[in-house]
Amino acid sequence: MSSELELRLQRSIALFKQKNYADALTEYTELIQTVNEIPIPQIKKLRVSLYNLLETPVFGPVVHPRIGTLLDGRAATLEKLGQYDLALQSATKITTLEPLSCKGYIRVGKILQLLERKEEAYKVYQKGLYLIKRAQKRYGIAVPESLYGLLKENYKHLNSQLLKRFRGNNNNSDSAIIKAQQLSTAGLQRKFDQLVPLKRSASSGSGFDLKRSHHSSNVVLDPFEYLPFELLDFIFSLLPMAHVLRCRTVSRRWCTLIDNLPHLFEFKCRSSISLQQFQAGVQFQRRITRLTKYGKIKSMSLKLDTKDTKILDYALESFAFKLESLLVQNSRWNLLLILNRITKESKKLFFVNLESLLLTIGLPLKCLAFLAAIAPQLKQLTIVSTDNNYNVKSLNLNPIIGNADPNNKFKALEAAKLIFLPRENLPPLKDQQTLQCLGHNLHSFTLVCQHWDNPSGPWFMDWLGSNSNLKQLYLEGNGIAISTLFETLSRSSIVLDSFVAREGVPSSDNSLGNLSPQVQFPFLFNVRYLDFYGILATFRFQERLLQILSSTQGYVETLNLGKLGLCFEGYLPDTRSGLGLRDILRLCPNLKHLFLNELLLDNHSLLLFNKAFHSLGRSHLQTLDLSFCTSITGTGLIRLFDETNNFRLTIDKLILDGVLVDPATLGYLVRSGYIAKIQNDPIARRWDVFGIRSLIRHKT
Amino acid sequence: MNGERFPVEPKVAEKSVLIKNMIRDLNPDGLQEDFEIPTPNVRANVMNKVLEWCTHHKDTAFSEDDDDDARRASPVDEWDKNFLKVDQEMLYEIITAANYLNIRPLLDSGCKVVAEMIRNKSPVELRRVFNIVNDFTPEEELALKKENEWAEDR
Repeated sequence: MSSELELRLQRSIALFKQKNYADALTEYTELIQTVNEIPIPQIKKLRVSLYNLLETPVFGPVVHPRIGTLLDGRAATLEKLGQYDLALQSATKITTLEPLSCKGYIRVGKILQLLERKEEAYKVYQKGLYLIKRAQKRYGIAVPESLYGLLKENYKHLNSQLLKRFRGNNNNSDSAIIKAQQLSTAGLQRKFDQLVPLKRSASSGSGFDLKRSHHSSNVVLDPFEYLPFELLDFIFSLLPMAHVLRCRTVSRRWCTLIDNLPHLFEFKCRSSISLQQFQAGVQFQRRITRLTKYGKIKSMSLKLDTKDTKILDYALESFAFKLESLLVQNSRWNLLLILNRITKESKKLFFVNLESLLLTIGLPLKCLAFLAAIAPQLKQLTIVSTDNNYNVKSLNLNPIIGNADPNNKFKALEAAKLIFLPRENLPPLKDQQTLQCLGHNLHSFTLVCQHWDNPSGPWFMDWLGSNSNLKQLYLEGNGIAISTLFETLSRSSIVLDSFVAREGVPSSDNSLGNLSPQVQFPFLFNVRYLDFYGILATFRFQERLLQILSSTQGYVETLNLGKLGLCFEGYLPDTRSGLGLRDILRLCPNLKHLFLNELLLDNHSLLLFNKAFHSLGRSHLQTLDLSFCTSITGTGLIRLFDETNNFRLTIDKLILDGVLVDPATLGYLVRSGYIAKIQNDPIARRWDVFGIRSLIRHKT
Repeated sequence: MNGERFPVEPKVAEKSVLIKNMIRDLNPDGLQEDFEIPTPNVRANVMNKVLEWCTHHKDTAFSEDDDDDARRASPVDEWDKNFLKVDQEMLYEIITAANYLNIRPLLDSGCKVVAEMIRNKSPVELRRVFNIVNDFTPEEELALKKENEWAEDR
């Protein structure tokens, strides 16, 4: 057996040398599988009889003596094939199976360097050297001198390379020259130690001691002297941009170092700003962006509150071609105005590279067809419309916009979000072209509070059904008839991952109960996220819900049944009907997050929940939301987590807003380990205040 | 560094991801063996502080969430705030140690405390607080201020 293994190993090595990497890979992978299948007692025997080794290694797990060689060969082959991630996996395995094998660390380090992850490679070398040194000292283990030497050599080489790179970075810009002048060689060395905060060699540990002798403990110290760069970047990213920039005027040194913080390269201007200030900002950003690997400004965020469009003009003229991502937030503008500025002086500007566009602007939302024509690469479009209705007549609209071919479609669009503010008294809109422009290749579609004429009409349903690649669908407050929606989806070839239907607008046919019994739910076959918050649950709803859940494959991880107005069994003990949690758990074996907020639940329901969990004897539940189930008290919660010999329910998070429960009870549940975290705000506002509608409020 | 030893129970030590991984590497079978783990970059009194933190939080369940925004937004734990009322050298060393030992919740608290020291201070105040000499000429300073006027203040 093992002589055969040796032969095959030789063959793999030969294949590798002949550069026949594909066959070598197959051979190595098979061999590793074979070796992994040998039971441990047999491996122990093999080690003694064939390889003259101890039954168990002094250090590390019992493994076949050749496993390291095989994994290293596989990693080397994958490396040649350019599959660095897999190669890294294979190599990392060596370091866990044979912690004293120099080969493993050398290979992991090499691949990490190929992946440009040099700091990590450095740490790996260092860990390997540390472990081997320790084993030599403690157990007197011998390691092959040549490999050990190579590991040391690589480590030293990378060390000097990283040092050089750090110095090199400082030399390719004006500001960096100042920096280099300010940092002595010792300073650079220390900076580097901080960048890679591990001990490099026995002699370098003295940096802190030297410093300490200079300062007494009550002198205040400059964070840039003491903290590694990556942490300074995190610290400054916690501050508003204006504060960060203010810090630039502290000293030359601060200025230079701040200009090199990576997080600074997002262009975010403040909301009230003059054109001159804006231009200065753009110049500043251009200057520091040039110094980084990004090279130029590709994304821009304009959150302005001025009606004036000079800044918009300047930004569009300077960047329209280059931008990959644009955010415009200004409730005084609207889409027509922005498009009009783009085409001003009949100069047609194209967003040729634009992939992501987020607009928070006023109404009306019109002429998407023109946008579709000038932004052909757009993948993500989000439009949040505020209530501000711009006076279109004063606009003097460029005819090219209005005359755009209404059949223009976004060709690359994958995700579209159209979010409107909930409006009570606005007349319904009749613009149905908007949807047609979005095309038919959407993966994700969100529509909130659109007040179209007859939203359940065929023009909407047919369009929705034609997006056969749709994976995520989010509908909220559009007055869409649930039964029509389900019928449409069940007829289409759509298979959803995530389905949110918060169409809680009361109307006669807005219930699943009215759905014809023939309708099946193939579009929910793969669904993982189901949210029916607030839709009207009438008499036959429970039956339909169970039918829906049983047509999923059991992948459902998140289920929201909030505010359905339905009864779970147990509420009012004398009524026998009610939805049972046991059925839900049975049909959704992978359920992780369950939202039962604003439902008719009481302590008796929770007792039955407890029974449901115990009768199944398993649960993956992580989050449970019982907010605004106001009949629940501490007694019920303790009953819910009551354990028996064979099962104990534990969850990560309980959300219990709007319910008054004795803090001592909640404390007990946490201390006993049933719940890791409880969110309980007895005076919280209800759910429909939050969710996506509140998102609009934050953004405007 | 000074040859001192800190015997701790595994639950406390495993707040450090570095040490947790080392224990797993050195002892993959989870045997009841005593370990000695060198922490060459950490001074003894800093180590004492870090261990005090680990002991206090040994039963705290920190979210494993990798969401960067959530990480930034969460406020500093009140106990941590008091715990980190130390001189700056100690604060920086605790942060550096937390970074080296990979104890993220402590690292986050420390960084947020430093950010608070910087927040809402004028350059003049910052120079005083951090004992820094202004080496700009007045013209340079003015030019920089002009350059800074565009940024978002939130």
